[in-house]
Amino acid sequence: MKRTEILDKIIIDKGDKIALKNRAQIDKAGVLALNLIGSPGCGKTTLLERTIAELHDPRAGSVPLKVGVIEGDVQSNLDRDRIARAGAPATQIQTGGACRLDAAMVEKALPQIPLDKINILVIENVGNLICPTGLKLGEHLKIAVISVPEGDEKPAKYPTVFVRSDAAVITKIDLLPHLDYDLDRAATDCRKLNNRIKIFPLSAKTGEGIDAWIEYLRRLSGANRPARRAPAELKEPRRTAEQK
Amino acid sequence: MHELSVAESICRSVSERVGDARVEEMVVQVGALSGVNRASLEFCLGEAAQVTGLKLERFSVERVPARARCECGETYEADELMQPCPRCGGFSRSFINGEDIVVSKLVAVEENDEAN
Repeated sequence: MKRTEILDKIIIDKGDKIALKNRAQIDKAGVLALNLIGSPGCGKTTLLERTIAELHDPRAGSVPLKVGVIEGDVQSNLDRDRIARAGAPATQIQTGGACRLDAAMVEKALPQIPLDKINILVIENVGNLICPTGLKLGEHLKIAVISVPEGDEKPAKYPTVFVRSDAAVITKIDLLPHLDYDLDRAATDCRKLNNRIKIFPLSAKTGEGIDAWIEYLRRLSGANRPARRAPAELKEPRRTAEQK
Repeated sequence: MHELSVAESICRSVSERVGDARVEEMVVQVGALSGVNRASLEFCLGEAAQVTGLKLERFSVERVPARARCECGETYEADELMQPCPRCGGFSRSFINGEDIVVSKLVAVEENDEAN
C-alpha cells in the first residue's frame, strides 16, 4: 500500500479551455462578443431587438453594424424567433434545465452563426443573475442587465455579476415615474463593487438613453477589427492580473 | 444548482491525477467569486464521485474570501464584496483572486501491492 500526498494544487478547469477556443474563433473573424447576464424578464431580449435596429440603421457618419445572437433558455425557441424577426441571424441553445450556458454549449452553437457576416455577437445567457457569472464562454465583455421594476438593491444583493461585468445596463427607465427606484443608489452600488463599470440607464421602449449604449458598442466593435490592435479593455486585464 | 457539474469536473480532474488509487482525503477551496456554494458542492461531491467512479473517502469544501488590492496600495481580504478599503475607505480596488476552484489537499492511497 502506497500513500501519497499530492502537493501541487489542482486548479479545476471550469470550461476555460473551450472558452479560449471560442474566443480565438471569434477574434479571427474580428467580431466583438458580449455575454448578456440578467434575471428573467429584465428585458434582455427587448434590449437586443432595439440594439439590433439601432446598429443596423445607418446614421449620419456611421456604418451599419451587423449583430448575430446566440440565445440561451431552459426551453423554447421564442427568443431566437424574436431576434430573427428583428433581422439578425440567431440560434437557440435549450439547456433543458441547466441554469446557465457553458463554453461547450456555445462551441456547438457557434457554427450556426455566420461570424464572417457580423460585427457583434451577443450571447444572451439563461435568465439568471447568479449562476452565469462564474463561467467564461469566449466573450470579450460581460454585460449585466437589471431593470427598474426589480428594485434598486439588486447590485447590493447580487454583487458578483457586477464585480465581473464591464458594463451594467439599467432597463425600463420609462417606469421610473411609477416606481420607487433610486437610480443613484443602484449606480453608486455598482461602482462600489467595480469602479470601472460603465453604467447605461435606458429605455428600449422609448429610446431614452439608448444613444450612449449604442455609441459604446460602436466604439468597442471598431476596436476589435483584426486590422487594429485590441485596446487594453478588450484583453480582460483584470482576469489576467487576478491569476497572478 | 450548477454545483453538480462542478463536482463532476473536480472528480474527473482528480481521477486523471490519481488513476485508480483511493482518495483518502481531499480538500477543495472555492473562491468567494467562483459562483459556487460551499454546502451544495460538498453535497454534490459524494454523488459525483459515484458517477465518475472516483473512490473518494473523506472530503471537505472550504470557502476562501476574495482578496482585493486598492489603488492606495493596501491589499485586504474582502469577504463582503461591497467592503471598502480598510485603509483609505475607497472603492478603487481590483479583486486579485476569488474566482478559482482548487483542490488544495489530496491524499491518495494505491493498493496494488496488496492485490499481488
